[in-house]
Amino acid sequence: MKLKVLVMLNDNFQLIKYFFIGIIFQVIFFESWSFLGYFNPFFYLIYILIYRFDKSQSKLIFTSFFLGLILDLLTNNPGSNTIACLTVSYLRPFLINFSFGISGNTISSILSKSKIESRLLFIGLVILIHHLIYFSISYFSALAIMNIIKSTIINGVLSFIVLIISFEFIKKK
Amino acid sequence: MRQIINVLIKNKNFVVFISLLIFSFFFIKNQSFYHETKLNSLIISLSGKAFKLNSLLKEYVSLKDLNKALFEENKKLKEIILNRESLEYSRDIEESKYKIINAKIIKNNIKSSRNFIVLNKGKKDGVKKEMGVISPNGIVGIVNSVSESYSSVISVLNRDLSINAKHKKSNAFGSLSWNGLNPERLQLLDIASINFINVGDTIITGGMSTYFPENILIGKIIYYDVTKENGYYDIEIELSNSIGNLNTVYIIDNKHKDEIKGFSNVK
Repeated sequence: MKLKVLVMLNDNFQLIKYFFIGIIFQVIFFESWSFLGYFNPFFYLIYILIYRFDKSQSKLIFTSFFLGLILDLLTNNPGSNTIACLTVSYLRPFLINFSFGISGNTISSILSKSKIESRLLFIGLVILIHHLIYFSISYFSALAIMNIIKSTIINGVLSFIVLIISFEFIKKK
Repeated sequence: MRQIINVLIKNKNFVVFISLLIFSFFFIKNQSFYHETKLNSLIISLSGKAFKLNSLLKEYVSLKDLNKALFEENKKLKEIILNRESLEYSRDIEESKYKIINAKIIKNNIKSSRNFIVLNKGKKDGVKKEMGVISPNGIVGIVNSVSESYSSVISVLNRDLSINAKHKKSNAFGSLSWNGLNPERLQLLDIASINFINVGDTIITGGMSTYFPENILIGKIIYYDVTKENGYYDIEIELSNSIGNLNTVYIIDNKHKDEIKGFSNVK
């Protein structure tokens, strides 16, 4: 019983840690790191990806909403981060099911031992949906469809590389 | 009730998601002017489509009244033409200053204290923000938001709107607004008590703003009182047109608006 409480506390501590690491790294490093002028990786997605599959989804939706909101306020965005984070966190169980073939409640996480292609697919889908929503909200015009696709692809590739490297680093640690 | 609560609990993630999403859109609307304008256009065009159906039915039912109104209006126009011909009125600059766009009302509300009207004409028909809207019987409002095919008008029955008006007999200018109570009565303020006014006197547009041409009928005085402290009249006006029963309106494009505005911006 005591062990279970300790594990839970540790889990929550880890989540809070990634929540703030996501925000701090995003604002301090990745917002100012512009590749080819205006492309940035979206590092803060690490929080949504690392959240355990069996933990409460409502909690994830709430915390992702605040994650997006804080980032929008800090980076002077109209609300694109908030809506993108919110939608991705809501769709996450479907993406888990699609990528890993397991239900959203299975005791597991992205750091667990699973097929590498499933993990890559899951990260890719989260990034793709997040970026598509983010840039659609940012441009908010049907005429900017080419810009939305271009930004989604380039930023998506950057985010993908940064997040994969981060996960490898976390796993080794 | 219990069943509804059960369904909500069962779909709590979806409920949380939708509530936060709605909040986010409000956040977007307040954070960015660009998004606010875009969202307003989207809302108008969506509500425009929804109300069009309703308006089609209403239109069919009110065909007889519409015919009657058109007949009356034709009569008035005919009178103007005949008068002009007899006076050999020449087309001067003043005449070609305004362009008229006719539009149909597809949504009209007079129940709130801030009422808006939706018209079936938009950007593609040449409607722009801040154009005045009148009916054959008087003023209606000012265009405040435009989408591709629809436009939204701040009705004179909106507490936020204030219009320049004048007393026809004395030419005294005042400011016309609505207190949000009776949809047939408007309040005219700022007319100095040195002017002589009477119940039944006509109030017309002042022409001091770029929204409306001068001398468009607004209504008649039905009550007035002098405020002792500041020496101005408190005047109640009965509107000449019943906003709730309107079907068709005219949007006025003042071609000189930008030019006049340019002057007012010069310090």
